[in-house]
Amino acid sequence: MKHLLKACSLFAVLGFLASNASASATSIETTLTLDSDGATDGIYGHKGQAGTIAIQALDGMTILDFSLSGLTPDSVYSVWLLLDTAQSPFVSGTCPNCVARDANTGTLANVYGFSPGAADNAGYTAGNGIDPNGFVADADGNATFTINLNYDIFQPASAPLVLRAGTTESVPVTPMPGSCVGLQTGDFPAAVDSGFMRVYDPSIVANLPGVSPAYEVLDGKLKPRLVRGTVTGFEIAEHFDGLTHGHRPGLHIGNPAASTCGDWEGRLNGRLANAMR
Amino acid sequence: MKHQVYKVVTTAGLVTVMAVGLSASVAHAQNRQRQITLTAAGNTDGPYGLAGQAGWVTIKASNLGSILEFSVSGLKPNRVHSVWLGFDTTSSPFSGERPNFVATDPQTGTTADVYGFGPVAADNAGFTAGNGLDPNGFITDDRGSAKFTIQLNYDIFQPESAPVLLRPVVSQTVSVMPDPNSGRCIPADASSVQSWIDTGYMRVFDTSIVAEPPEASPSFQVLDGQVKPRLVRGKVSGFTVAEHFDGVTHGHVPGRHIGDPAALGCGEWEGRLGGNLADATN
Repeated sequence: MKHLLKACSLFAVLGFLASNASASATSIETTLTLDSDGATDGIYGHKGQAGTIAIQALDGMTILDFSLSGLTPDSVYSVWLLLDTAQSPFVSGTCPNCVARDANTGTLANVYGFSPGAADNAGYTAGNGIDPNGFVADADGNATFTINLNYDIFQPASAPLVLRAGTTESVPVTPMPGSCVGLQTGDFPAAVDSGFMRVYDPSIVANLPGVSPAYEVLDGKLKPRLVRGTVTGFEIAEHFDGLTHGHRPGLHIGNPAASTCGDWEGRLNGRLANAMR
Repeated sequence: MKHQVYKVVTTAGLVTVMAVGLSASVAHAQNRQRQITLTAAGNTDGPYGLAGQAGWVTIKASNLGSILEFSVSGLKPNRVHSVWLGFDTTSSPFSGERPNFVATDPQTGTTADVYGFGPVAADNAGFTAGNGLDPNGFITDDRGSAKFTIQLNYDIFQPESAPVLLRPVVSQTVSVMPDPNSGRCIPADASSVQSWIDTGYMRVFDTSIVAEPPEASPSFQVLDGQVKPRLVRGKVSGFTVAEHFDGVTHGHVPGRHIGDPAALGCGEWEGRLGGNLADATN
């Protein structure tokens, strides 16, 4: 497996739609230069990485063409969208333990301030295979790949919010300075995956079998309405454990609770506002 | 690592399953073929009731994987359904009592809250959590029938074959409640029904690994290959076909069952067909 699974059709879920749309008028074309990010020395340190994203937004979709270099050869990476947590649906001042509000019901839910760079109907393996926002650098530390999104990242409230998952499995290890060590006992949290926050409408009168009792708002068949946030930028993450983690990146080494037992670090980032049009 | 994506066409043309180099291989290495008759299950009357459904599944299995060919009828027309496997929860790695099963990581001895069931899908299939049809989902035709194939990258007749599913904590709540009189689900100001969106498979960890990034992972997960974490697995005992009243699948979990005391009329699925692997015939 080299580069992204573009060639393996993992992005085919919506890709064909975006490809067809590219034949029509393009509303926005721009290039974003990514800056190096993350630790530069120590066991997680890395330098010399660079990259660009050519962004085409058209007809409610976005095509992201990535060209990256200077990464760790043959390592697993993933792409994340950074969200504007100062705006609705985020509750002001709650991040990094972000909370979002379902505008329909007023109900709150714990969420992240980022979202995977993938179509909202892409299939996630939670690391059992590469996830749709994942890629593997080649033997030279380069990667060229495309991600098709079925929403326009330049629009407000475009990217779906990811629910902040609770602990599902624990591992008897503990962070130590410069390393992560195994113990006979211990309770290090390992959340495995999550999903997107949904919009509900309890004013619906459930009347089976015609009307669902679940109160989920559907925008079409098999298309639940999702709570969405405004995209502000991108982050490229390197996964030291050789795995992606589904809708979430895993535990960051900068998380005080994870530290050296974390499994990813940011390597490149870029703000959408800096894109050259 | 080569991935091949196979599209498995149902009568509705919507079941797509990812399998890794499986189809052709199993076709050339089949060593068992069995059939299970699926019998009616679940409520037969009331707002969730259904009667008259039937089906069967033909299983072709080898050490390379399993091909499950389903044929079902008498279901509600044009409805979203999903297929689940039940585990033998009396054997390893399971312990505890329904619905509060736990499973033990054989490497570390650590336990985790798990379900006694899992989705019928390859362990590396992509789940949308209902944003599109999940790989164990199908839609009946306008006569309430469906024929579809699901390919698994493990042999379901082997012990500890299917990956065990972590039992998630609540991720989102909805202000509704079951009406004590009608049993239907109604809006409520104070009561909140719990809503689980998705989960994942239980992993095997090995804390004897000496972490030394970037070569040795600090996460202690055991890998059986590139992008292939080792999973805790259980013995398959049978199948359940579920109908989703809300018109969506729910990822690795089926959603809330109407028999769940905490859900009742606010539940969103009911079993329609079931079959035991022990009853499989040649």
